[in-house]
Amino acid sequence: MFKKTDWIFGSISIFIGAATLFLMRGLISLKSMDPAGPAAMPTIVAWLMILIGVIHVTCAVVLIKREGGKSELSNAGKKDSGGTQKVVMICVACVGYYFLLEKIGYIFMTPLLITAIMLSVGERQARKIAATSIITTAFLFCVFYFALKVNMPLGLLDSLFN
Amino acid sequence: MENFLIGVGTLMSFEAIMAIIIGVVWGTVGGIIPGINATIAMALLLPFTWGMQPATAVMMLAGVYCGGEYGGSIPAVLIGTPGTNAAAATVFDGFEMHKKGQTGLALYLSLYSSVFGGLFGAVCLIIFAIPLASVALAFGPAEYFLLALAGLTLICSLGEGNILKGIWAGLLGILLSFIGLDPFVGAPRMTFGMIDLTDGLEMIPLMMGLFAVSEVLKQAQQFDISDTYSFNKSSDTGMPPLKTLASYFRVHVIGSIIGVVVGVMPGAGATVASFLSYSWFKNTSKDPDSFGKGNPIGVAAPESANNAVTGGAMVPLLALGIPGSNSTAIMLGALMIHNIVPGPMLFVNQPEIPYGIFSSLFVANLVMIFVGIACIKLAIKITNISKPALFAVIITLVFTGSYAYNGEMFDVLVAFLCGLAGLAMRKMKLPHAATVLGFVLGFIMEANLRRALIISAGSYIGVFINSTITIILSMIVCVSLMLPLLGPIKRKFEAPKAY
Repeated sequence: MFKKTDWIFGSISIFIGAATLFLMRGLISLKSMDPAGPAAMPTIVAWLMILIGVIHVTCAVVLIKREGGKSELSNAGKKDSGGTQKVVMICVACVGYYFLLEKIGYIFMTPLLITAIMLSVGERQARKIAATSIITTAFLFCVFYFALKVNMPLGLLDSLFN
Repeated sequence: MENFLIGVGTLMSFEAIMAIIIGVVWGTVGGIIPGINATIAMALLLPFTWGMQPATAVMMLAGVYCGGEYGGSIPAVLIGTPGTNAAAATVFDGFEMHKKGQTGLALYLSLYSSVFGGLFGAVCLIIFAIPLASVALAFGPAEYFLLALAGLTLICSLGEGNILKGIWAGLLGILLSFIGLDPFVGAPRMTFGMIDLTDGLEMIPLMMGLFAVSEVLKQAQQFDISDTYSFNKSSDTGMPPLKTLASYFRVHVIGSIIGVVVGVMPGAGATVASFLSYSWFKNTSKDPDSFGKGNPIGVAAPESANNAVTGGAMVPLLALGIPGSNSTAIMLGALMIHNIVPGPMLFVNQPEIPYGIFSSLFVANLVMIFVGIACIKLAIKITNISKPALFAVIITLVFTGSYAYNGEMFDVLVAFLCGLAGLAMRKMKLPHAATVLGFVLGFIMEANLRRALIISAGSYIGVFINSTITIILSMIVCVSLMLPLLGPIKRKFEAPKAY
């Protein structure tokens, strides 16, 4: 049931639980029409998370002491550094998309995002990348902007559409 | 019977039939597009109903409602992205079936289950509309709290080999549902001073991030461009024999009953129904470990339940004039535009409206068979593109759908961050499905517990034993909690017998 690497999960769990309790400290004294108040449920959840975290850390420490050896995570990490690079590149593309979408506009940024993602995972056929970027962007823009009347971010083309 | 014939009579026109067909097509397409659920699809169509006859307008919206609840299952199976919240439970096994090459069975089973659920809901609506409305009235805050708690017991069985991790993932979902203004005193909770967080997190970006973005990131990590190009070339995309589909009859009936009962209760909705149904079958299965790994029951159970809700949700709307969900609230709006006041007198004064809706639900579900088959064939072709293109299209679709839901960039960020969190959860073997379930039920649970505590003057025991329904529900919760815990112990004792 437990693994040696569970101390990581346990520590995260304790941290989230403790952070929640810290955030709730101001709400405990707040008067509410209900007897429980706004802090009751988050506090219960936080304590349960801390409890689960402590169990995992304790069990992982016991396992490490009993069996010794390297942790399973460090070995796994070495195996897929190429895969992690792809994920990092996709994430960078997504972050760029988030910050520039409203400024540059959906019509320009979406093909760039598609291109970046396809290049990140190793696609090199320019025709395929171009076709996917243009068709997907055109289709989604037509569906959301014209058919569903969603105000998509137009960015640089704002004056053209309005 | 006489009134039912009046309802059928209103259907016997070209206009009415066309309205239902357009409604189903629009609803199904809306359901397929992430970010557009049945409610939004209905809202978008509402302005077009102003010039129609009241009965025709309501029939069209009933068609959208049915199609919308079904449509979400197609992307759930094919790309692991639920088109609607109610299709989230379908992802667990539907997407796994697709990965295993059972694409046809997953897609057609979801269609068949949805049609069965929809028809079952319509029959229940005709026979039990008035008695079911009294059931809805018997449910108070304590009953709702226990119902949500019963649904949450599913998280115990979602942790693969580690029940505590399943519970933790569920707790995380509950914690995320608390973000925003407190529903009773209006105090901000866990907002970190960010205005965007005061409204809380939206379900659609959170769910699409956890399911779709994390799946794309995981697959991209393992992907090698020299590998096979097709997403799943060995998939069997054909329609399975009817005998195979009919073999899930028992699942469909039980799932539909759960859907109708949950649908009748105002505020619960299709998402709760599909999770409850999934939970029921997983907890009572002889092989609960097969769930989440491509068990067809994991598709049939939630799909029959979430479409049976359509019939159930009409009960409080038509019999009491109370819209139980966002979709029925739109329906109420459509009725009021045409000066129709729902309630008991509607059945006496204008029987063609309620009975027209009953009959249109039948027709809409039958139309859904043909629309569904067409959509499945088209969707399979779209997903049969190269993996790099599919990754890019999924992420673009998720971000566009997240933005379109509220028109806020913050939702795009939520979808992205939830994708990263989902990837980390996959690494730590934490079931993100439990997080989604916790998020769905967290708000219902807290709000109703606090309401129940006001009624019981602060007595927690009073919440659990204030009526026969709460006692029964408390017992169900206890049994549901014990089943997954007893499972491993039972298997431990049975193991030596195998030798």
